[in-house]
Amino acid sequence: MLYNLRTRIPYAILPVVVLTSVVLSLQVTNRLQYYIHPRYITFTTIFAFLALLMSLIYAFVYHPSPHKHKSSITPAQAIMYIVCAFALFIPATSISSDLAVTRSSPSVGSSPQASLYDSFSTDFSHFTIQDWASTFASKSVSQHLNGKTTSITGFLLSSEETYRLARFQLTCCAVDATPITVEIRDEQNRLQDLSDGTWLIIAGTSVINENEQYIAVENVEVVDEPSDPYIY
Amino acid sequence: MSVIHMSRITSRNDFTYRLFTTLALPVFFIILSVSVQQFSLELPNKIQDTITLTLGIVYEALPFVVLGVLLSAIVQAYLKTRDIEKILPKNRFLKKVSLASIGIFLPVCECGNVPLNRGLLAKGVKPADSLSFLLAAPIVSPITIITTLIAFSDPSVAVIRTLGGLSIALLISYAFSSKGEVLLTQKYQAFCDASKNQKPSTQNYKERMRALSRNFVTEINSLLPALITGSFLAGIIQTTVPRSALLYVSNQPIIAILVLLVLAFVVSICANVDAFFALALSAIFPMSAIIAFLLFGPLVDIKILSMLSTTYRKEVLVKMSAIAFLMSFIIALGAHYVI
Repeated sequence: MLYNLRTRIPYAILPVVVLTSVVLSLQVTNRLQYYIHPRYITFTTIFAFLALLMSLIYAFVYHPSPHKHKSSITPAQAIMYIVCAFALFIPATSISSDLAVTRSSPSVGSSPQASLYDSFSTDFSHFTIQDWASTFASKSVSQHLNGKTTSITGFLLSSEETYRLARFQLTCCAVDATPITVEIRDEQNRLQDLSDGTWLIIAGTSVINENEQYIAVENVEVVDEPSDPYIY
Repeated sequence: MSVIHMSRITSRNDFTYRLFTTLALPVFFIILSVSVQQFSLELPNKIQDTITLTLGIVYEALPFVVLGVLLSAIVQAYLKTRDIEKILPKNRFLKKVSLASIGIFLPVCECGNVPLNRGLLAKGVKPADSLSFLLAAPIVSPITIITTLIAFSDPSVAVIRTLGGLSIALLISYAFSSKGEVLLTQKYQAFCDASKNQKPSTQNYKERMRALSRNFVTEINSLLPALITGSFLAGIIQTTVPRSALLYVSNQPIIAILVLLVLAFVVSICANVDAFFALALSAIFPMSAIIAFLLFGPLVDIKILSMLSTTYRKEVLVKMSAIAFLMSFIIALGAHYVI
């Protein structure tokens, strides 16, 4: 009554078990948000668990067939096994700044702008990169937001002589990520030694006039990529 | 020891062995994956981004596919053949509209509708009629309508999207309704023919769970390769074709519509949230192009075509895509002159 372990487990369940196990492990290690919007994480985790459960029920009652069927692997199945191997053996990472360059578009944020009441304050450290991008992109940019101190976090993007601080905004999953960018200018040229993709905390002052809108940099701090690199 | 006592020990050992070997598998993979996450691997950005985008689409689509497969497995396990046909109206038009309206009660995206559609086909729904459910369900889903209304304050966008999408779905369903046209792949047609002779499970709970799990694994193994292949192709295109290249042609209405139709096909984003993605593009593209994106995306994209290839013949998918493309273009162009 010795069972051969290789015949005990039906290979049919392996891709589902691998993918669902990886989803559960990403949830445990807080990295599922590198791939999907946080609003989907609970839903994805629950159904990954259900899929795993159904597969394990099948495996539990499985009895290997006495007749061995040799079936060839289709190209789609081969791709499936390769992608499952990627999921299992390659650590999760967020999308790189290279994609921000290929997806660059006029930044359009969807967050509300500062109210007239708020604008009496000089400290706008609560304003995020998304807030500034939305403000700068607005057709009716109010100059009473000029000269506000702020501190924003993002990764560096450079093109010719322009520097921008960027973060990806996710709607659904990584595939729809759109870069939200804000122009930054540093009179001390500290940014030229930094490579694209470097995460920074920029402390500075907003400059808004008829012709241009940017953040004048006062302090640059290089930081690690945050655990939640996207904005929503 | 008596024979009965020996067989009880054997049965308990067998149960324990089965339980251990079954649970060992996910525990092993979870521990392995958690361990891998503690390391970092420096890959070229393009390769890493392709992997991230591919897995992003897969993880986002997976719960909807699982939900659809579960519903499909329940339909196949518990419904008799022709049960669905019996409750549908006999009038051809009303039957198609009724099937299209099922989407109102299903908050799943197009990925989840594919396996459920397969379940309906296995239980006797005609292939041409099933297309009206498959294509309309993502658009008439309440979540899609609500998110469209939230993203675009002008209600005409949601109205054009819902009615336009429903019309295209019905048109495609009628386009394939001629007698004698074979729509399903040979393999799936054989599966449907075999299913029609199966009686629903009336056995005990254990047997029903066994049948349900078998249906689930069979169905998800049919769809997973297609979903992953489609996601992989979408990921590769996204990292090799710069999206910014498309944006330079945004100021010409007809070209803008064509560009967003192509983008909708490539980006493979779920209908439940594509309105917010389209909103970001509305600063650059005219509203007619946005409408084209909102119409075509839920109907046809790389990921869905890949999944549908498990069920419908390639000629059907090409014809269906062409009609959807053309009708989305016409409706969007019409909207350009009206809005």
